[in-house]
Amino acid sequence: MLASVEPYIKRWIRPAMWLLVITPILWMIWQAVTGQLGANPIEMLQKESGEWTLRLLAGSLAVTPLIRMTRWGWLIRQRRFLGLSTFFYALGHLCIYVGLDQFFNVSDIIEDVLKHRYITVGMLAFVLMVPLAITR
Amino acid sequence: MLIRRPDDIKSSEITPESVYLDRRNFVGRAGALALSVLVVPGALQAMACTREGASEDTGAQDDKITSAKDATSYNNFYEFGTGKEDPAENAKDFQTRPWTVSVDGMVKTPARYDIDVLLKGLSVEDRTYRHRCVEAWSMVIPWRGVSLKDLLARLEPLPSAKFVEFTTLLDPTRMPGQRRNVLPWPYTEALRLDEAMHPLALMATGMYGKSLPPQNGAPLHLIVPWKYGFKGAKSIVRIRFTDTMPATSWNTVKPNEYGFWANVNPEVDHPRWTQAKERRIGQFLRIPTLPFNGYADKVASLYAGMDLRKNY
Repeated sequence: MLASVEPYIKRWIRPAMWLLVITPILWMIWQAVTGQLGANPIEMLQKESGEWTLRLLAGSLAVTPLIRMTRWGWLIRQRRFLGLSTFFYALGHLCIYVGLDQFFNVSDIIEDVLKHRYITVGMLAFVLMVPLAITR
Repeated sequence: MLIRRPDDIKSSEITPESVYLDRRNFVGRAGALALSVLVVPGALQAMACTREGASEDTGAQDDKITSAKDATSYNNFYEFGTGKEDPAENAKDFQTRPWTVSVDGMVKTPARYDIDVLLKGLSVEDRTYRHRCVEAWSMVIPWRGVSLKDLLARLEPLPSAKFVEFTTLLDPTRMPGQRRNVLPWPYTEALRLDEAMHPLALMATGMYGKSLPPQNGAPLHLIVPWKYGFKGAKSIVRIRFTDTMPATSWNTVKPNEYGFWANVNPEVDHPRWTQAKERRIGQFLRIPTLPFNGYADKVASLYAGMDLRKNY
């Protein structure tokens, strides 16, 4: 099984995964460059980057059950790739929040994180992902 | 003996002291710049855009007018969808003539009026107001309309009337957003009668020198510039006078988030949004929010003696 699938993965699955992960970023950059982010571009970028982070997170978390169901052991490497991609999306999302939305205003950020539950949850999720990303 | 060697660092390469002392900010700014250049030329472009238009003496003189494109493409009008860009798309074919307005409750003569009869003879004014959304963004919009005071006076409310309620059209065939139960339809909003009779309150029929586009609440859009935008009912078909505080849409759904009064107040936060600052559409940095949206000198007296933290 493994021997027959391996070259196929190398040739197609990985490029397809790269395409999947890179397309939303290119799309966002394209929209920004051509002024298609609407009246509130910062909000739009925040929303899009956040939503893609969640999609990728759901994708990474779906890999393990999928392996159990199908016994496709080779999927484990795709899980690592998806997990790291999720982390970089989350990092981008955080940078947009800190740098563009809040413009590095530390006291405002601290207040926001402590006061608003959805920001608290997002920040906590990011912090929890850091060790996972470092240890891959 | 000490022999001075020439400096091996060219003076041109030495960081100026002022930059060194300010290095943290410098790095911050450089980082911000890099990020901006990387991801949001759109935002910068919007920032660089120059806006034109003369403003009336209505408190918004120092504010640049938001571009008509932004003000007509970024709307909260759930009757036409919950996305900011949905109303512009879904209201395209919305017809606002013929249009009738029912007037009832504590009023001398309850009646149904054709809109053009209702407005006939009232003087149409251009007024530029700051518009502050509860979601912490804002615009500056040149409205056109009639003074709400003049309109309501014409309807002759009874002396016993204390509140006035405004109801938006209910018609799911023309307002596709009403096919989903995101809010109890029809949308209603209300003001205490003395708020409604304040000279700043406006019944808008137009903006940017033209008639109102449907996504902005045509043909009648209530404008109360010192309150959060959701107080301004759109596409109004009914005006009712009463002596008890009416239930209003957002307040009914989430009373802890949306108060009846909804006066712009930087000191009272919404559970999801800090109200101390706002993002002015078209600008990059957030700006401080002013009490009563900058109209405190004109309207604060309406609320004398009221605890504005409790009555948010």
